[in-house]
Amino acid sequence: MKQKGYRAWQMIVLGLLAAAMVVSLMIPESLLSPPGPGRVEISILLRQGDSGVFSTARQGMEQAAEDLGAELRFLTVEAEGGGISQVELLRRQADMDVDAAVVIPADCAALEQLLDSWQGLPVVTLESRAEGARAFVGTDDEAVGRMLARQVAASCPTSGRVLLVNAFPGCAGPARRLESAKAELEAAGFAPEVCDELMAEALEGAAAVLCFEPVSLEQAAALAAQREDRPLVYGAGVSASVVASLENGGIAAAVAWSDYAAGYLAVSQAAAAARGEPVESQTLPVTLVKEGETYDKDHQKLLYPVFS
Amino acid sequence: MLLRALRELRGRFSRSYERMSIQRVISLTFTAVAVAGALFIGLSITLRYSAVNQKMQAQASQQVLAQVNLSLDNHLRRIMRVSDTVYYRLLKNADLAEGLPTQSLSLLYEENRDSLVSIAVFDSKGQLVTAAPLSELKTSADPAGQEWFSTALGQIENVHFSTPHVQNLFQTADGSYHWVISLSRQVELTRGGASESGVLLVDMSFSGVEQICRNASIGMDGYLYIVDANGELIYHPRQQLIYAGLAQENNLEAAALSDGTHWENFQGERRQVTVKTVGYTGWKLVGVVPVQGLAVTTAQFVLFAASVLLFSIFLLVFVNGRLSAHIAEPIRRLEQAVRQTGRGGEMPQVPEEGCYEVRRLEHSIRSMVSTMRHLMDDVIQQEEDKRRSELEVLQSQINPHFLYNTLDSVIWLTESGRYEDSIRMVTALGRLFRISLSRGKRVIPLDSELDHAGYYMTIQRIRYKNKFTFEIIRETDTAGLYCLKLIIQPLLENAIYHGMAAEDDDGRITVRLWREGEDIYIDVTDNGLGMPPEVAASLLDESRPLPAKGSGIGVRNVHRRIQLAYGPGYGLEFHSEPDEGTTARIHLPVLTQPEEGTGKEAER
Repeated sequence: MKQKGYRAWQMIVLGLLAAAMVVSLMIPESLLSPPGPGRVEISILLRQGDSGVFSTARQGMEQAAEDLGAELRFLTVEAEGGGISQVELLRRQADMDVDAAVVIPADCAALEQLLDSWQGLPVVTLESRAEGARAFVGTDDEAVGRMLARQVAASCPTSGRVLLVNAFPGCAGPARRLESAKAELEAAGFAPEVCDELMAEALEGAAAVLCFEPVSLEQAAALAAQREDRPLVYGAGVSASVVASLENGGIAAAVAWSDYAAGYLAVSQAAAAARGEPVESQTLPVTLVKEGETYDKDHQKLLYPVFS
Repeated sequence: MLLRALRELRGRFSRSYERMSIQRVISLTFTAVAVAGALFIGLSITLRYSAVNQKMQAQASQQVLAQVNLSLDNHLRRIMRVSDTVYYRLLKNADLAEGLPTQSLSLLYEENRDSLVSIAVFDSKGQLVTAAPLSELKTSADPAGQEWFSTALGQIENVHFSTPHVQNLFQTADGSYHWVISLSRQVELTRGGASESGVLLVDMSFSGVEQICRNASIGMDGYLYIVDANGELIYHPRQQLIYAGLAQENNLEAAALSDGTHWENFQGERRQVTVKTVGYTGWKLVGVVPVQGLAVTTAQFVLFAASVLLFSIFLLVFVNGRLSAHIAEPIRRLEQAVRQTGRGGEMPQVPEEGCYEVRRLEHSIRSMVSTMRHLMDDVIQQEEDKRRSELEVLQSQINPHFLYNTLDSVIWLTESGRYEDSIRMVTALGRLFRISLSRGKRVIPLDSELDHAGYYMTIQRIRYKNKFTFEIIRETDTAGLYCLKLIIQPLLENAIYHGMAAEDDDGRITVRLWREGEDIYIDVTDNGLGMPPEVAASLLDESRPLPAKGSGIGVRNVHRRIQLAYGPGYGLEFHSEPDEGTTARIHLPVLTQPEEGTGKEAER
């Protein structure tokens, strides 16, 4: 009896092993691949007017999303000076169970106030650092400000009127660049003026105009082009319009970095944060591109993204 | 150290082997050999499969590269045909002084606008001669300072392909830019009848190359890229990431590789790299398949191989178990039969099955057991016969001794005229011998034995002139019981010789018998001289010499006969004190059948 039971078990095991052998032939290859990380939803919160400027960054973000299995949702604050709106928008993203957010802060103070002990969702900031954010992707703002100031100092007399444009006073990144440039200029003997809103009249008599983000830089280049006493325009960040102005002399020099890399890194850090993986802030290398140098071999790769 | 460990392992194996059943040994040996064979074959197949898999992947990569190469070649040839058409159909026949073939150039561009960004002709100083679709150079444009221009004029016999770059020659209305690959060649221009050198530039769209390469799929995670002879990237699926510094490629190494399949380690990853050179451009198509991509296919094979191996091993264990059981079962049954026989039982009938050797072994063992049993029976029979003859010898030792004495007395009585006593003595002697013979029986009724004792004492009392009295006392009912014959008479004889010889006329010999449970006790007591207790205790000691006088041999014979018949628990005991007489006690088992005690007891 015991012997019969033992044999029955043997036959059952044999049958199971035979079935396993057949099943192993039928298993699709995809099942053998290690499962990739689950998809995460990431919201990208842009400022008003950033959409055009950050088109290259967006390409980088989409590439990162494709590589890392993320789903992106691009959201733009509708109102001007929408720091509060951006914070509300971010809060709503948390309520919608979005996994992480990449924010280009419209108002760093408002954002920091929200992020202080906020557990809504992990936030990665682009362009400006914000306390409470999990990571920051951007440039060394002080170095950018100094580079621009030195360009001005090299091409303008100290008696010349230098205008520093503070178009986004709530944004810590451009503000730090400005402060750094101002300090550098003052150290060089200049008396720089800071203006919050760039008007055509403001350029009158200006020897140089410094902008610290591409939106105001485009505006400054456009306004300067209308004037006969065209001031030298310097700025940080590039867009298609900025590159065109660099090519035709509308902008004397710009500090450029790869927005594609910025977008890619921001989303990859956000995806890592959403998955509970360690994240770290990333500082992007910057390059000074002067008027007429846009087609230099290395600058081409930086200023003209390869998109099909 | 290793040798000691090996020796210990071998010792353990030997000990285990000695404890194993033959079925297990056969099963394990078969399984081990079969599994080793299966593993060897499996490993060989796996290695072979792995090599074939890699070879197939290399072939697949080469096929994909060949296909891409063909498409790329077609694309480039198409661009070169455009260049040829411009040169041989338009420029060769045109005198620039008479007019420019702008319209034809535009038409040609329109026909190929999906692949082209611009067609332009420059004179040797870099001045634009004609162009399509745009004809206004950027103010910053410097054609003569560009690489494609100097290369075309430097190597006039060839067409030249540049690396991808942003076209920066023509003013566009929307400020858009194009990544292009420039095909440039030196051309002969005619102006006012005079020939001069110029450069024909055909800028093809980079996206044309990208589209050809983008859909090429190699393996699971493989990809394809193009480098020029210097290792400069022409196309890469992650080109922008590389330009942004977020990814790297081993393009400089790849540019130095010859056509074919190679292996490389890049950024900690082992990759299969297949290279094919694109004809006249000097570009190299590079197909990359990470080993991990190959491993997915291998993993499926490994899974299948593992399940086959497991199944095979289990099947082998199962089949070998059954097979070894089939082989070993007859041996096991035979072994059990031998063991049972060894315990004293009959050898059970073992069904005749199994292989030839086992059957022969069974026959041999059966024959051997039968022979042994016969031999043992013979030995037992011989022992029995020997014991019987010994008993008979012991019994026969009594008769001549007694007969001699009695006949001597009869002679003496007859000579002295005591015929009545003589007759009584002879009569008692005859009855005594009749009981002694008992038709050859060794066991006789107890009553007969007592009669025998009485006849004997009748004879002795006549001989000794009634110097002693004799009495038989039955304390319990012993009717119907049996005992060995002639066991009381030697004790009486002993009592007479050693107890009564020195008595005057007050000698007394008593035979008293009683039953206690399954035992019978018969005391033969005399009131003679007696003896020290230690002498009495040593009377039955076989190691002590017999007394010089008397018939001590008769007492020992009785004791030995009883013990031979019933075992050491029975026999004689002597109790004696000097001047108080001696008691010889016979201890016997109760026998209710005449032959009882001559069977098993007698064999002990």
